[in-house]
Amino acid sequence: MKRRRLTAITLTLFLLALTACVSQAGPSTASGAQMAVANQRYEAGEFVAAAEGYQALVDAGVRDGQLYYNLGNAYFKSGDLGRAILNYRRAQRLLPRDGDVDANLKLARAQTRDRIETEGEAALVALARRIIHWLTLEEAAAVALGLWIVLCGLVTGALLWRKRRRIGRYGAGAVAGLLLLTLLSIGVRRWDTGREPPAVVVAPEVTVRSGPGEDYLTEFALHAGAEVRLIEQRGDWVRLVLPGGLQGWAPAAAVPEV
Amino acid sequence: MNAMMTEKNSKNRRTQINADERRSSHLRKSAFIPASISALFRFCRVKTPLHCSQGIAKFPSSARPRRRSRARLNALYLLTLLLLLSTLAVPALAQDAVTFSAEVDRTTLSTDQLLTLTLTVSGDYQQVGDPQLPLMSDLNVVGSSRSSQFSMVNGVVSARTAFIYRLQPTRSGNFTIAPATISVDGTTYQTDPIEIQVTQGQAPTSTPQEGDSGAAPTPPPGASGGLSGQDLHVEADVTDPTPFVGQQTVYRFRFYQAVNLFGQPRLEWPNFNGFWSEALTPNNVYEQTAGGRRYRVTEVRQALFPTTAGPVTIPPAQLIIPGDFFNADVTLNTDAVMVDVQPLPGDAPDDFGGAVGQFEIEAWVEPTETRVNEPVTLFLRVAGAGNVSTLTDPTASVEETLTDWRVYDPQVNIEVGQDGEIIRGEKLFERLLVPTQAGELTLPPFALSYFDPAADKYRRVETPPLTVQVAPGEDLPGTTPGGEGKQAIDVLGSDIRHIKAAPPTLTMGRASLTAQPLYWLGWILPILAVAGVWIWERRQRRLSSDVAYARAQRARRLAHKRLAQARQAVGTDPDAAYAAVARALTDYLGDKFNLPAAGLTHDAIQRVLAEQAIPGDLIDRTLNCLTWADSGRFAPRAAGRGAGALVAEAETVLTELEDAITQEPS
Repeated sequence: MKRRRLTAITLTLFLLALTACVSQAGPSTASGAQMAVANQRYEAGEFVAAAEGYQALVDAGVRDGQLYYNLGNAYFKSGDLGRAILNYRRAQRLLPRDGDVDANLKLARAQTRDRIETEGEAALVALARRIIHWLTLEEAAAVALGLWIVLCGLVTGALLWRKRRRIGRYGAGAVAGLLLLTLLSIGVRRWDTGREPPAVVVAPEVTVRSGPGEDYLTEFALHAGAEVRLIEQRGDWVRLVLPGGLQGWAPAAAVPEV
Repeated sequence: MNAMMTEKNSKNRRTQINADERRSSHLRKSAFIPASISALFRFCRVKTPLHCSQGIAKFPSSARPRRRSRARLNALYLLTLLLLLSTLAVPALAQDAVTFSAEVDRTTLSTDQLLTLTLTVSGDYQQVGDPQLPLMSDLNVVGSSRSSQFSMVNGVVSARTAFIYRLQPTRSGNFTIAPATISVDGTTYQTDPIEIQVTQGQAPTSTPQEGDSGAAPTPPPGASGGLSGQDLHVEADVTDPTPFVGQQTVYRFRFYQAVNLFGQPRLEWPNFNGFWSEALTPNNVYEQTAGGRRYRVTEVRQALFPTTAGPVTIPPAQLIIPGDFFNADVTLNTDAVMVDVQPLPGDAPDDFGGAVGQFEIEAWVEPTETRVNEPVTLFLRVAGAGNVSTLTDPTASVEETLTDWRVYDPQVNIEVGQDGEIIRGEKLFERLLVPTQAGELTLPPFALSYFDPAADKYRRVETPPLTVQVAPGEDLPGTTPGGEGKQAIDVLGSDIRHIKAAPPTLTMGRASLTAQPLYWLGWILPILAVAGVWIWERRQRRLSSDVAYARAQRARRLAHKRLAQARQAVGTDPDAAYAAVARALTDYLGDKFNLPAAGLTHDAIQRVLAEQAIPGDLIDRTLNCLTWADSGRFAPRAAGRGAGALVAEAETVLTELEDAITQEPS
């Protein structure tokens, strides 16, 4: 009888924790009406106007994958390849399993001018990258919490029902493994983007110089859509690095962070 | 050298080449030490993260304690670096020898021609003086000029100064130009002697004839009869007055001047209607004698490609010579030039697109191995002599035949250059092709037909067919192998995927989930629950395994239960009440001290309680309670006091005992 009461208490505790995280996941939202207006402009062929409409929503603080995707499309259609790629990549971050985003990003990348030499990536690394990026960071955080709650539940069950302890132990081991992987993927991504945040060239052509200023020697030029990583910011200048290792300074406004 | 460099830099500091020079010259000025120190600093610096304000703020404080040992290390580095640099620098400086050479543009000439003698100093030098020309009685120096050039490759300076002399022979015969000498950075250099041969020219120039009759038998090539001793003269002609449509001809404008001018003459080109024109550089400048006067001739040229057949008149070109304070502007006009453009022969091949000249064609694909839906780039390059700007795309006609490909519009790069007077160029067509089928796909040959005006016939050049290995890609409806009778879907075009419909609500940018306190509560609550359950479970386990612990734990609860029963029985069955009280107390003590309740005599109770250091009066009260209960049970009337009072007394005794026992560190 006492055991039953205890089970009830722990169950309520778990339920409380679950509802807490679910209610947390419920996002604050904005109306989609403005986006529908911009969609109509797009469908009428007024891509520049559509892009302005979407951009206004983004500026107002909306962070929606579908909005970024449509904005990327509008920029692509109006010929702004750099901003198209920038917004596709932002969309990809929020909609990592969306085939449309991947397809358009690939098409846009095929049209960029600079052929950037990427290091040969092993198939295993590519696979790991795909797995790691299968969830958004927010989703991964929620999944990790869910796994934690399940793991704690399993441990509690194993303590309470000693006869079924073996099942509980295997289950808990599996869940703990998954939890560890999720936490690892979150850690890797945070570390990766925090260390060298990715960025995209949006200016039609940007001259990369040897230092943060107009007087420095021009080292090379990048064109719209080139994808780089930023390693330092100083005033209005950022230091960027290409996958091949080429480095240089460019105006920050021409190379916004993804 | 450095002085010259800095002087040059101060003039136009903005240009890029100078920026490069400035950096290198800075390095050359024995500025090794500061340079190496800064290099070391860079070497030692911790790679700062993007938000570097933090990183920089932290760095010095953490580095300070280790600075002394690091300074010693730095000194060591510096020393080795200096040694290395000095070993590198010394041979580099020694290697840069200065050369001084002389050359002539021809070794045989006639007396009416001019000889160009060029003396060249090259190498790494600082100061160069004027060369000393040998005495030459047979050659007159009629003009001289000097040009300098610096270049800097990987920090190595090479300079070149050329002294150009125009020499005119005074008589025919074999001469030797004796060595010239020059002083460079204090050292004297000498050229080798040069042998030349001068033949008798048709017009004796050593003694210019007075009067203009001498010019008549030997008109300079291209000069019209109009040039006969005036101060200034202009004329224009074309190299080929009867070109084919699209064949290059050169329009030449010549300006003859026998006097110096104050202002810069300005040329007004005629309107080249009916031609595609391209400027030719550089201008030809030479000297020529005619009518007994020496003229300086400037020839300016335009390459012309006729666009239509038939006679075309190029209107006169105009040269405007600005006047000075005393003279008005002078305008000189050439004659109009007639060009009779020939139509191309009628036997043109079907795919002839108007190309005239000599062309080569080349095609390749990058990469040659791909997957379905992954693009390759088709490059087609047409190069040769002729007007490449108007060439049509040879790949345009095969666009429809490439059924296994999605074809994108080409990107075209044109480069035009010149080879002497001939315009050459190349046109590169870059097309993105996306295979829709797996397998070995073949691109058909690409051909270009052109008219070769030199051979006066049409020619056709063709590329070999290209093959591309296409591996199967991700499944698409068009690529899944259908059964018999099924047809693959033809993909007619490719575009980005369409926009998404607006959802009823959009996600706002909100603080990350991990920034919410409730999220972390979600992590803490379950672990608290686990901890609670674990503690409870441990207690349960002890209760079941440790009898003494279990008895002690349940003693109080059991005693209170018995007392409650006793209180209920007070009114109805006093005997049961007394028995219950007695049992409650003895069982309690037995459980607490893990003793068999049956054998608990008053003496034993007293001893046990005394061992536990229970106050004496409490022991007495306990025993008293027990005696009372026993006497009540066996001699109810003798008891005197009621069962209710006993129960109340037993309850207080029990509470006090409980307090006394639990206070004890047992």
